[in-house]
Amino acid sequence: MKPITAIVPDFRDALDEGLKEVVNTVVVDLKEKGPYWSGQFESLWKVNAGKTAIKPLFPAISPTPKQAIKPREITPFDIPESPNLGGYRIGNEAKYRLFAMDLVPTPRGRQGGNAPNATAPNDWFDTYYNAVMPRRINSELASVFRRYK
Amino acid sequence: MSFQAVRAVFESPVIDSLAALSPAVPCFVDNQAFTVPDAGQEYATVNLQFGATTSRTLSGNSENLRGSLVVECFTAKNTGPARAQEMITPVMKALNGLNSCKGYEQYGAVGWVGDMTGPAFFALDDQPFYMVRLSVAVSARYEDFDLLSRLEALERTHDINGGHDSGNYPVVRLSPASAPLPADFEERLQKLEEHHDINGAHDSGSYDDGVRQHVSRSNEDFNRRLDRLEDNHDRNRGHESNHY
Repeated sequence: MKPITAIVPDFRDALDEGLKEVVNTVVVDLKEKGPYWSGQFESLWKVNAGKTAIKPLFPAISPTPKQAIKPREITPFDIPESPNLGGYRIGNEAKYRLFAMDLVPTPRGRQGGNAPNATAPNDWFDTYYNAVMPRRINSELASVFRRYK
Repeated sequence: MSFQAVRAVFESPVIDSLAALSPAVPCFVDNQAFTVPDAGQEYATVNLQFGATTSRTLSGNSENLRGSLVVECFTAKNTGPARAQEMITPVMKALNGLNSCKGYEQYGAVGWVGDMTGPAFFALDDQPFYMVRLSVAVSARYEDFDLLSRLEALERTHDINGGHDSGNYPVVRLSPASAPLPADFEERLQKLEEHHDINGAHDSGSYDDGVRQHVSRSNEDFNRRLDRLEDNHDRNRGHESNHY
């Protein structure tokens, strides 16, 4: 049995590792569940350490030609170190992110998921955030803590 | 599992609370065709999506419906946020009221709301509307009252304990669970009660005489009556048959 003095460092390590695994899982989920046309929106999911906001920097490739539809490919992304369990912030750097996440309706583009060529169901982000993500976080953290004995 | 019953639990309070506004606000649900009204004409949309519907347990997957409810209300642009706030406030109150298990008897389902995100207000760039958006985590459970199963189990136990076969009680099928019970169910229950008394050489009582005089009644009345019959059956036999 470990001495009690070893428990706190273990706990911190487990939380640190757990946070990274949770962030990885959530970002991959967002990349998989979100709209995918040219791959631009998918590639712009970003992780910042701490509470640094993700700024919308990149405008849409416009107009998007039909031939630009590609099979979905999950691009790699970085998870920076977050010292002292400072947490992470996940966001998308596309300027049109609110439309792509169906948070603001628009009669153009994916039209809130109602466009005939929409590649994600409407309110996909809310559905994930409200009904899937909490469970994913719980299960990822639980699996990490199980490894520490 | 009934998605229709669950939808009714969440969508009805939203639709009702918007209809109660002055002037009433028409509300459109998912996959309902409508033409976006002209500028100044208010409307709302409600969209329920399911994210995870089951949870794994030792004995298999159990139903655990979790989803997301998004309500969007549209009002005139450039008139301030007051009307949008008026529209969304009763909706939020109605949804919060769900946590008191309203809707269970009416729809056969019970729903709860979790964290609410918003309301967020937007002046739309490319449409003549000011929008308020509310996103709510929801969870729900659908319970089939399944009185028929309970009655069938009671009949079997009655026959086994009595050492005989009481024969065919008229068979009915209850569907949907929230529908009024058909006449055959009353007849079948009455016959079972009579046989129970004869076999037990006693009178277990009326099982609610007042209720018996009417054929169509709520599931709740039948539940109460069946509960009592089950209790008496157990007490008279000196055992616990339960698990109906």
